[in-house]
Amino acid sequence: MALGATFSALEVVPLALLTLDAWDFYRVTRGEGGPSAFRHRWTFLFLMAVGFWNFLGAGVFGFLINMPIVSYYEAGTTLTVNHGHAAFAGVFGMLGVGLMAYVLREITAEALWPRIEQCLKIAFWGLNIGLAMMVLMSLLPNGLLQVWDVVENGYWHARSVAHTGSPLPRLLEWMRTPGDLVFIFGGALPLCWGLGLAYRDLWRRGGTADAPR
Amino acid sequence: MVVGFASLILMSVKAYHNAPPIPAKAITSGAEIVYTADEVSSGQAVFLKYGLMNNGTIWGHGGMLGPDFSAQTLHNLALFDAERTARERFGSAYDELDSRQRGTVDGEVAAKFKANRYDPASGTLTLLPEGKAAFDSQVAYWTDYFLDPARNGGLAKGSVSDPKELRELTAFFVWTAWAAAAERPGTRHSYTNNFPYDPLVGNHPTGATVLWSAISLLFLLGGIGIVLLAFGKFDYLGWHGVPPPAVPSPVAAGATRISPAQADRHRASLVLHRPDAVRHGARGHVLGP
Repeated sequence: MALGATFSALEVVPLALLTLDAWDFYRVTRGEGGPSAFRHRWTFLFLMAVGFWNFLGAGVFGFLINMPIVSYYEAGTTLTVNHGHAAFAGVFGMLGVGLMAYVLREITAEALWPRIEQCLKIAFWGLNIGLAMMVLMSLLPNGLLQVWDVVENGYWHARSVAHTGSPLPRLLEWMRTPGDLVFIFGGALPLCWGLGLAYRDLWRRGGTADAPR
Repeated sequence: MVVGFASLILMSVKAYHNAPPIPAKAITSGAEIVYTADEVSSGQAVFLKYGLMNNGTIWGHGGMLGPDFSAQTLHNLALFDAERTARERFGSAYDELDSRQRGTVDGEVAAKFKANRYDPASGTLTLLPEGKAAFDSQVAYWTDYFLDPARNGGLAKGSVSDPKELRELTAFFVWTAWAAAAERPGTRHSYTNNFPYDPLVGNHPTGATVLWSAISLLFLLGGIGIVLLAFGKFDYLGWHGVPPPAVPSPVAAGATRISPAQADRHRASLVLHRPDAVRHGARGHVLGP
């Protein structure tokens, strides 16, 4: 417990320091001469999202459940799920999409790029807003409520339908739907659409990317 | 790295070494066998066979929803004993006791669940009085649970319905419940560091849990402090001052100017290769056109 508690607390240190970097990163992302001048703008924006979720999902929500005394009560509750979703989808997910955005920019014909960029733009906001809604409207409040029930009534009670089937937790569980819908229809589908467009274009050109710019 | 991996290996070895024992047999005070180590292991196999880690949890590990099989079994067994004790002491149901009587019963139940009645020499765990009836009540409870999809989060009807499997599964749950409450020899907490929280069986956070929480805060604040100090002392650890190696400085090269395309290519390639290149990229841009 000693090693686990102390070293996992240290994990948060670099995540907190990411915020020192954030402003510089923002300037790079904007680029000089207006946002559109920067060729890999969307890759950078997704990397910025990685930084944001790294701090919030991994750092803040991770540390929230990290201390042994919190972990003792909250292990296996929705508060763990809250950290897991914000950190995993937010960090590794956005990182993956950022890489995708980079590759798309490199393989896409210049004429097609505005349409792909439009997809990426919608997907960027869809994924981030959807994830934020999922976390803030459902997982975080439901997790806190469940941990409160553990402390009040014992772990067996908070895990049983006596708690999870009662009106407020049930409502909060359903409140996942709006965020999920935004995530899927505003985030995942536009991204797939953009990928499909780029792939079709590449295929029509015989599988060779034209020389970028 | 050596230290890191050595401590990880050490912790893994210790985890196996300190695993709670599975009693060869659990008996009543009358030496009647209630369940055996084989049944516990078979119960674990049944648990895995039906993928019940997706339906609930053991010691807090498993599905997002659904009961904690260990915690629920433990609490049921505690209620069974509380009921028995209430009738024996006060001749009335546990629910009908006044607060003083309830305190007496609760204290007695907790003391009984905390006591470790496992004898490593003979591999025998002696159960509480009426241990057989308590065990059978749990077989009935979990049989009922798996019977009705409305109670078990929608498992296929009768998916776990074989009486033998249900009995083994219950033996597994009951064993995890025992290990979660009985004190580890030589300590004042259970094999699971008193997890799950359940005041009725005397499961509260341990002293170490509280203390190491506070100390972990020290590590966090101390760690941030030290790194910020280093940032101040060494001017952002040198991230700012170094010009990008591949881009000639326009100042040094006189009138040479970088085209926007050059700057962009450079930024893009750097960014993908080095995390700190973001800063170099920014600088290259500032120095550019």
